[in-house]
Amino acid sequence: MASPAIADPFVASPLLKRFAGMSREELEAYQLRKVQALCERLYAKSDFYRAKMAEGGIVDGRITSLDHFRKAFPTSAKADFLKDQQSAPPFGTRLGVDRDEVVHISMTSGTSGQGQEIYGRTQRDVHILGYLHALPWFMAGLRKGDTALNCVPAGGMTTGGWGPGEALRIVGATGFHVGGNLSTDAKIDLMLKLGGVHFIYASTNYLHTLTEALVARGIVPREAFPDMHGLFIAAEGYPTEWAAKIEDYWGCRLQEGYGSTQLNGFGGSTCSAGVVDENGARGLIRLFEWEHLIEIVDPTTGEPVAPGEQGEMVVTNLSVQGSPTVRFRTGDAARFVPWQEAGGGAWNAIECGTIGRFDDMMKIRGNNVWPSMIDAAVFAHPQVGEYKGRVYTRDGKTEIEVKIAVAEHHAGLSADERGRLVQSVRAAIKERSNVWMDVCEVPRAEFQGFAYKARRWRDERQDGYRL
Amino acid sequence: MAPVMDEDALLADMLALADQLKKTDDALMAGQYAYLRARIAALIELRGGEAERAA
Repeated sequence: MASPAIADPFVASPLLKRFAGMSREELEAYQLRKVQALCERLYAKSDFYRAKMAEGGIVDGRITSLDHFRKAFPTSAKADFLKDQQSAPPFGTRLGVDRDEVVHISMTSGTSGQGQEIYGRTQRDVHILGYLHALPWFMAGLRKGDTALNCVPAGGMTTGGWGPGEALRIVGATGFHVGGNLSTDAKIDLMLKLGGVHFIYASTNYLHTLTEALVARGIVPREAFPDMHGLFIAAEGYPTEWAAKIEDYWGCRLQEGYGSTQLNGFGGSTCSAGVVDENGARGLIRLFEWEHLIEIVDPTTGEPVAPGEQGEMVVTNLSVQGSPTVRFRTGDAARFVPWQEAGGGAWNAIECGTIGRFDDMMKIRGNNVWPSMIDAAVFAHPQVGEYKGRVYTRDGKTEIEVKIAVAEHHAGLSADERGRLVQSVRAAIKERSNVWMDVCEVPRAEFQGFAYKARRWRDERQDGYRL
Repeated sequence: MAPVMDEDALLADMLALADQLKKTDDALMAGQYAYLRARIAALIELRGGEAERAA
């Protein structure tokens, strides 16, 4: 790999080294102090959380241990926040600061169809918002003076719209916020004129699109951008084969972060270790546990999952003032890797590349199928540029259709090769999901406008039961 | 070798100074001083300190 050498982030930052050097006991003591301060403040300033504490028998907002907190403080979910907002618009009674302290808002995207959560943030939170993007990017190689490409649409009302800009300023990098306002070809034209690009932030799906477009134009990324020292993705799952290919195309490491509006930025990242290890196995997202308390629980029982098991992420902000989340059920599904098995340090981890949604899970012919599972099967084939799936009912039977499009730089595949590709994808899906699906090839043009945050699956089964 | 700098102590001093500025009667400056103070408070927070309790 031709990646330019970047100073080890833990050597370059004594602060980071201090947090990385904490023992588990020190880290948990630190978390407890933060949780205690948070609960005392919310007891005084938030009707929503005061009611939660009363429900859990917590007196005067006093938390005695992390165990006490986890057992006594009831969880909240999106529906609770939406109900609270309806009763006291716009922020609900969970705001936790005076209304005139709110200088920034973040809203969730609304893709769930249930409604949008709204978060009121203070001046201090805006800095923390930037910091919680800057932190993983610094570890991924972003440095002062770098030229960085932000492919996520900037501005608007989302956390991802404002965090990157704040982060790049905090680090001292020069940001080109190209997401959502330039076509992929126009982005490439711009990149070629910048005299060097050092860092790219993009959704998994968009990094794929950008790479595919570069290759289709005959541009080898590692040759065109030899100074690149960090690619950072978030939001969607991917197969390790894809990640290895991306690193090869770009000649630098690929890093991933787990973030959300509820976390006011990123809650963990692969740091500088990459999304695949030297043996090609999946890497780990180490959790920034001094900034967030992140529990991984069985979504049915609420009990912590065992090492290696998949569970739901339940998050508590430790550094957020306005609209903090306390034991919030994210619906995000991740495989838990305890700190003892995470290769050093005291931070717990989750497996990268496989974060899914519990509410995205599709029960198909008795099998639990997550879109991330199918992503992994399909994109293990580098010839595939994109795909979409549809679950529907025909004659009372569940059918699954998967449409794949050949990547532009593989447009020269013969009919025979395309036929074999379809069969191979079909077999890979069966192997991962235990479900046979109908796979067919369609033109790449069917996927226009599919670039930022892909929603590849539609479940139309209920339509099949309409009379 | 450069002398060891106590960054936490410096930030605490800066917070105290920013607190004084925040008391201004100038409505145009008040928000900007609050912004300055918040950025210092955030740096204290992310370094593991507790600016709001110290204030």
